[in-house]
Amino acid sequence: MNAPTDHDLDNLFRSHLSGALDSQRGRAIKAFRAEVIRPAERSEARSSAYRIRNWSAIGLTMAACIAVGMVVPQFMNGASSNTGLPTISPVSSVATNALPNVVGNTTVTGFERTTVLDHIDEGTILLNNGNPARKVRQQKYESFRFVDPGTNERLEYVIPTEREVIYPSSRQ
Amino acid sequence: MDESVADLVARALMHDADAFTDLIRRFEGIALSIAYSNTRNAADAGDLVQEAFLRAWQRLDTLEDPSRFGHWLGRMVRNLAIDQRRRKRPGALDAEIDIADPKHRPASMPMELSEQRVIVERAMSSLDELSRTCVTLRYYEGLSSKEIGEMLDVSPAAVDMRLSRARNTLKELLKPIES
Repeated sequence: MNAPTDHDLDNLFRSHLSGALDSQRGRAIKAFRAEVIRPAERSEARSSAYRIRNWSAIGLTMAACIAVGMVVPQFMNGASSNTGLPTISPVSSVATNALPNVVGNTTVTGFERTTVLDHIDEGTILLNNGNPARKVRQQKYESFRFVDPGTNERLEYVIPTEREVIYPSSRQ
Repeated sequence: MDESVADLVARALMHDADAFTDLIRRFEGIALSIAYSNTRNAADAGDLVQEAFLRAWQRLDTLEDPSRFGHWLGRMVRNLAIDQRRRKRPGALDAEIDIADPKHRPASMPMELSEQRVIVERAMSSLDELSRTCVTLRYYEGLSSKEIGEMLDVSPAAVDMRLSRARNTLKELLKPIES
C-alpha cells in the first residue's frame, strides 16, 4: 500500500469531522427559536389580543357616546316639557373632560373624568316566559383625576361597576 | 449581497431575532469546530454551541467590536467548554470509545473504515488543544490560515505549522496499516 499523500490525509480529517459534526448542525437555531423567538411571538400574540379588546372597548364607548348624545337631549326636552316630570340629569357613560371644576369654594384644577365601558357577551339565555334573550355583562371603569388644591398632589379615583343587561330577542 | 457581520450584530442589538438567526447560520460551524476541539464529543459540542449562542444573544451588548463577533463567540465557547470540563468528573474527557472494538462498531460500518476513524481520532487526541482547533477549523469549516489565526490570536505561519504537525501525526499512525 502506498504512503498517503497530503491530499489523502486532508480528506481523512475532513470526512472524520464531517461525520462527527454534521448531525449537530441546526441545533443552535432550533434552540434559539424555542427559547427566544417563540416566547416573544406568544407574548406578542397576547398583547395583540389585549389591544383588540381595548380598542373594542373604546369603540363601544364612542358608539355609546354618540347614542347618548342623540337620545338624551330628545328625552330630556320631550319628558320635561310634555309630562311635567322633573328633569333627570343624565349620567354620562362615556369619556368626557368638560366638567365643572369648582367644588364648594375651592377651585380644583386639572379635573379629568374618563369612563371606559367594556361589554362581554355571555350568550343566549332563556327568560322565565321561555323566550330567548341575550345576556351582556357591562363593566364600567370611571376614573376621576384632579390636582388636590391643599397638597398640590395629582389624585386619581377609579370606580369600577358591573351590571348585567338582558336584551330580549326580537324573534316573536 | 450578504450583510456584513457588524450590520447583523447592530440589528440583533435592536432585538432583531432574524438577524441573530443569520449570525447563528454563519458562525455555527466555527462554534461547533471550537467546541468539538475542546470536548472531543460531538453531542457535547452541540449542547455547548446552543448554550453559547443563547448566552451571546443575552450578552450581545458587551461585544465591543461588532465585526469581531466570531472571535468573541469563540472565546465564549472555549470558556463554556472549560466550565463543562470542570463539572465533569476528572478523567471523563479522556475516556474514549474504541470503535475498532466490534462491541462499539456499528454493524453497518466496515472494519477498514472504523479503523481509519479510530486512527484519525487518535491523531486528533494526540494534538494539543490549539492544534486540534486549527485542524477542525481548517477541515470542517474550510477557513484559511489567516482566518484561523485571527480567530485564535495566532499568526498564519503558526497555524500552518500546527496543521503540518497534525498531518505528520496522522501519517505516522497510519503506517502500521500500510505495512
